[in-house]
Amino acid sequence: MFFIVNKTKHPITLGDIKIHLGPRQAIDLDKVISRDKSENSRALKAAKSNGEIEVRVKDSTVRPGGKQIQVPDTSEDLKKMKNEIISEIKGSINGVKKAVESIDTEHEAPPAPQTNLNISDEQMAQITQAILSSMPQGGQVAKPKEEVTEVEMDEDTLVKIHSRAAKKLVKDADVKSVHYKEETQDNTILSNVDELSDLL
Amino acid sequence: MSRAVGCDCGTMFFQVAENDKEGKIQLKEIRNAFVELEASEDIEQVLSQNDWQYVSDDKHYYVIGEDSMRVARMFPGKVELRRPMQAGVLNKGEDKKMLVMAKMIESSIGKPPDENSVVCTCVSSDPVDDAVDNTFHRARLEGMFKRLNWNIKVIEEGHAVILAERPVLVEDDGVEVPYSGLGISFGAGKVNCVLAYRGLPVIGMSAARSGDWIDRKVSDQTDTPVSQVTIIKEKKLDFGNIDYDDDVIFALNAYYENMLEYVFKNFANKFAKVKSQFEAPIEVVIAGGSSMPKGFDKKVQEVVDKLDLPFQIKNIRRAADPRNAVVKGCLTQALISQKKLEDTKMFEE
Repeated sequence: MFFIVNKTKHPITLGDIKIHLGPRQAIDLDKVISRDKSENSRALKAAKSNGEIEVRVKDSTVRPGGKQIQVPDTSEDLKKMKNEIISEIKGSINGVKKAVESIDTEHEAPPAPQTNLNISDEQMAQITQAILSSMPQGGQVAKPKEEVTEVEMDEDTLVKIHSRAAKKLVKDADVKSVHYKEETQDNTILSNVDELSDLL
Repeated sequence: MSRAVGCDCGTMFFQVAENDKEGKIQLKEIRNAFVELEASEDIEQVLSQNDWQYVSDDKHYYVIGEDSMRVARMFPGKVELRRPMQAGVLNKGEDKKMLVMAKMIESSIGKPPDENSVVCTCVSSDPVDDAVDNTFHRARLEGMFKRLNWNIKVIEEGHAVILAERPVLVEDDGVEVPYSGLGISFGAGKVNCVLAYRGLPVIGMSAARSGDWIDRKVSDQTDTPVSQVTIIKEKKLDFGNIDYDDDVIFALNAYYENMLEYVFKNFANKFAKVKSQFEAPIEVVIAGGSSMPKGFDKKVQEVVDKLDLPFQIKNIRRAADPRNAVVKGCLTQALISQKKLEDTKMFEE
């Protein structure tokens, strides 16, 4: 919720976010524009600093419009980390290999046996795996930043699903002789309706 | 002609409000409970002879409303009184809730006459004390109205109190701001609070300690059946005249006090958490079936005076019609939404 109020007795327009507020009108900006836009609005900042607009409530997080199920997904991060480590180890070993070769050439020494440095990709993967498994676990390793996969369930879809369920459930049902306790009262809300229609 | 209907599917009562042709408010109410009877050869005869109201599917008969209480009293131990709603949401342990509720809705409001007709209902605000999420309840409730092709508007229960009762906030420059204040509905299943500013809800909260919770606690402490506690609460409890020799009355007073402290402390936490900036004193309006005992508003004042709240309270007042304030608020919103819908369509044309 990002609830702001026009403190003045005249209308205010926040041009860059296309918000028009009547005298003393209030609005929850999170319901009309994204938090990103409202926080970066120059017009809003200016109106706040000169006291025309007051922020009544500002949540730290934005409430999502739709219903969301949040599933933390770390598998992609782990794969990425593994590949980075493999390529780093490969690079280091190749560097060592080149250094040894250049020393050998400089000193014209007899060629050293190459077998131990000619490591196949499969062997490399085994070495990497062994290094990875020997690495300390838990709190000693900086955890990869969690990425969140959002699965949005549209509210209208949800209602349609329940509407179909209700239709199915009452298909063979019948309702007989329902009596309600009835009462007639003078109308006390009509003025509220007119007033609220103007206010909102 | 388009219709606008307010509907409160409460834990204890199902209520409907609509304006009639003379401009008066028509209110309908039925107890939100039922008992199940096995189908037999003469069951329909028994039901019609007693003029019991019922819903039936192919195998069973469900006596609904006030009649369900009569049947439960007539056959103690043989039939169980069941409720479609519990603690402010559809009762998850009741497999016939949808059938009974959907049929109650159908028989009370019927189908809309046109595409501009609107029904407004209400749900609880975010709970502070349990993990029950309202999303599923809200979608199911909307689904039951959608089945009949109504346009639906859903508001928070405490917000309905604000729309019906028009609390006023006086700003520091003396300007009166209507529909600004704290609306609290003390229902059977839950207490619902909404702090609003100019008719817009700012902070909403619900707590699972309300009428049913008080009845259960008092019943446990005094070894008195819950039904008897409920009757004493409704007919004898007067906060201005507590009989301390009466165990049930004494316990009711104690648990009401506990419930009020719990509600206001939790609301204060939420108010502080969202860093709300209501500097002017707030008007509090109380409504709902559990606010009916005599002197309840004074009891609220007494409890609030002892608490250190992060906001000031201007006054505490009882709604003009506490039992029907929520459904009247729903009707107010339905009329506004219907007007907007018609205006939009006219503009488009």
